[in-house]
Amino acid sequence: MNVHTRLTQGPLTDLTDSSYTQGSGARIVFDGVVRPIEDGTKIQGLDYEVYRPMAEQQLEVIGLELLERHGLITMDIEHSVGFVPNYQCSFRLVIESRHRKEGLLAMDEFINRLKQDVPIWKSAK
Amino acid sequence: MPQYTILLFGPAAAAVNLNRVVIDSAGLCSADQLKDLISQQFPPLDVYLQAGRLAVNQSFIASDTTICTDDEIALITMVSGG
Repeated sequence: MNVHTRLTQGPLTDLTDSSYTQGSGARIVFDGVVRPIEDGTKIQGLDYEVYRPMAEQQLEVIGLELLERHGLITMDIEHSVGFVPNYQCSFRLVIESRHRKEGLLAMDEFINRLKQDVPIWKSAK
Repeated sequence: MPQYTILLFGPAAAAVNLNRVVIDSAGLCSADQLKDLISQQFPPLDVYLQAGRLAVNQSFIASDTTICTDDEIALITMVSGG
């Protein structure tokens, strides 16, 4: 399977894998970072609550759908669970595709779907 | 009398200070009927039901789908991942 999903406790660590999949012409990385201000109020970070079995399933379903529709090579999806301090990464999406265009389209579409269909809730702390 | 257990998360859980509610029903319900019962029996959840969806066994369902009492049911309010 070319879609990998992970729910990770706390902030996500730096991306360390620098190898590319055969056939890849583009790798696009999106890091979602916690901002220090939420709705005009200073915060310490965000706490993510997850309905884990459904979130894992939804991430994979959406990933597989986009992988097939856009002809992507790989999709790696990771989201934090629990508290993530300001300026730390809470969501990462890595897409490899043959060309940049389909990868960029899929990136934007995935993030929109994440914010619509994946049962993850954040609360400011 | 059938009873449904509904899992709650995020703001909906906070609204009633519970992570699940048990709903009494006269019979088996569709998703829309169950949402109406939740609203009647737990009025603070009404605002979350307006924009929320029910998930059954970890999948979103159509509003007219009949739900069994032993299904895993969750109220999925507006999500905010990312």
